[in-house]
Amino acid sequence: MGRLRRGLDALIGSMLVLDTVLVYIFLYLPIGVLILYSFSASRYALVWGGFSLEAYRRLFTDRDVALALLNSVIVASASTALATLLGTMLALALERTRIRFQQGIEVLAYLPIVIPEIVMAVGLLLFFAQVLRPVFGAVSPMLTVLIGHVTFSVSYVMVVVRARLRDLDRSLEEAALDLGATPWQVLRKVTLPLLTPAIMSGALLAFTLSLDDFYVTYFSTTGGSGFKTLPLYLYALQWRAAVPPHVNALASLMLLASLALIALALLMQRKAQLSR
Amino acid sequence: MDEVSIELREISKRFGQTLVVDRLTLQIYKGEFFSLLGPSGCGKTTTLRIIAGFERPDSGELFINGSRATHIPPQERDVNLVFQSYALFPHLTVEQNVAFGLEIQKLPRAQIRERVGKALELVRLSGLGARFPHQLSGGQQQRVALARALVTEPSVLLLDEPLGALDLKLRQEMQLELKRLQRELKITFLYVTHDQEEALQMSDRLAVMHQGRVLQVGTPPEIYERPATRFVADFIGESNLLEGHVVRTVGQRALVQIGSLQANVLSDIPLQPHQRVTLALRPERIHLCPPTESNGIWTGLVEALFYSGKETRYRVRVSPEVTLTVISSAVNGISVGERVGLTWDLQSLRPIPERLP
Ligand SMILES: Nc1ncnc2c1ncn2[C@@H]1O[C@H](COP(=O)(O)OP(=O)(O)O)[C@@H](O)[C@H]1O
Ligand SMILES: [Mg+2]
Repeated sequence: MGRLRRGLDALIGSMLVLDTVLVYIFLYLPIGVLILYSFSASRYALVWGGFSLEAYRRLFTDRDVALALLNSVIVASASTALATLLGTMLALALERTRIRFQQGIEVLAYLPIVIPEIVMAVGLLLFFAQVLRPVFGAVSPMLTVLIGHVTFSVSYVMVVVRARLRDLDRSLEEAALDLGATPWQVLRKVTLPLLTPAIMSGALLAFTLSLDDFYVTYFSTTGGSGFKTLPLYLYALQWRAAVPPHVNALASLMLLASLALIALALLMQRKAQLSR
Repeated sequence: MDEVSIELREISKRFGQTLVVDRLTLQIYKGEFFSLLGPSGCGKTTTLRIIAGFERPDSGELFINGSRATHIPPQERDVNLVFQSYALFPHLTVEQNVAFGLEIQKLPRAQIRERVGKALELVRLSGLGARFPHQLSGGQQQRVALARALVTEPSVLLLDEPLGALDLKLRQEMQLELKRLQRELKITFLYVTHDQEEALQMSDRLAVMHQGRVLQVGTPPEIYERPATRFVADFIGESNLLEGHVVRTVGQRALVQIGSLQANVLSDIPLQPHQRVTLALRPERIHLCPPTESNGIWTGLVEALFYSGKETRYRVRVSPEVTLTVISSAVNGISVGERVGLTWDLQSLRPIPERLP
């Protein structure tokens, strides 16, 4: 009996290990292949032609890539700045003041996180076409993309900042008031410094989301402008008969950048927890 | 000692359905060490928060240094609160924490540095100014909180169970420190605690609170020797509470019947024959003697005995319905089952005047 039981346990154990391995292969094999193929010497993205750095060389000398990268960075920086400001203010308003229609405003603030992005994207398209353009005339595509990115980033920043704000010991702010600080000084000297790690990780999140956003960007630029961010640039390349290999290189670099940003965000959260 | 520093007039505060502070009236004099003593949940913190300005009373008026402060925002009140949790700013060093209030006042940098140095010296923390709060022990954090609240020289310091989180030894040390600080600075201290021994030892005067109400205000001896209510008699120290009725009175003396026993009482409150009355008798004010020597006071049977080194605690049945707790520091060889006589000074048996809890 005992031996059979032990044998079964061992079998189940090794199946669990196998299962885990398979899941990880499933998750990371495509990414591995992508990185591998970014070092391919072939003229086509989907064919292996021996090791070379040609794709990267081409990437760094391509003007279109440079332009798309510039657009991406500008949009991401600006939308991050705006979303961080608005999201932090929203979090403070929801957590530290009693406002009218509190619950309704809360639901509205969380909604962009849960509704499908495609719905947001189509909504924005309609808004730009039916409201913005008729009222303001021609609007730069960079501006519409920026507005689009801010709309979804604000919620994420708000969620991150608000969680920290809720954990924050109220008596710290009261102690500052007690020592003579005005509410504005309390915000500047106590609340905001203590929120900084959360605000930074919210900002990093917003930046990452903006960098690789596709749907909202795509629908915010429809109208035939040539404005492209990196994801749009990549997508456009796919439609060529032969996909050039620097697509792989570009995707690999974007992956690297995203990982770096996420690592940074985690690091800051860890630091914030330690100093508590 | 006559100038009033803090005055509460009929202050009440409700949280939802519960009346947390109930028509509280108090006067605290300039320069005194005043304690608010009561069990956990009786409304002490809420009262302090009303004085500091973090809670608005539903009714009643608050005066600080003679002027009405009921609706003045906390940052404009000349009182500082030492929070129960210390509430040190975790992102600032000890020095920066202490300097906070002075920087708000926009004092010149040199002056700030000097006063912060003095304050840290006062609480014996010189040399730790560059540390962050989480690098300090509980006792040190406590001192930083004190220095931060004292450095702006408020006219009143409010302290919310400041020693509650410290272990016994550190606590006793800090009790002395606090007394020293208060004497040196001559600031009014309003000290909240649930520890009756602490309150008795440290206070010039204290108020005993229960369920949002002040039951008695007085000096420590007044409160201990003449408890005004059953609750005070029981909460401050320990009391044997005896229910009885007055048989007859002669001047200030009264004879009180307690079940089958009788006792003489010296009363400073008027008592009428047939009136029901509760008598309080401190366990350590009862002396045990051989039954024949008890001079007509009571005798009883020792039912239980607890020896704890510095004192022995006895339970003595004096009648079918009454047992008394007796505490004695004498070594007298009495054992369980023995008959003993009980004596006490006449003024140790106190009638409790009020019908309050
Ligand atoms: N903000 C609040 N909301 C609701 N109830 C409260 C609040 N603050 C205190 N209470 C209640 O009021 C009572 C008195 O609290 P508190 O003043 O903190 O007592 P103490 O300091 O004497 O222990 C408690 O029953 C507590 O639960
Ligand atoms: Mg309390």
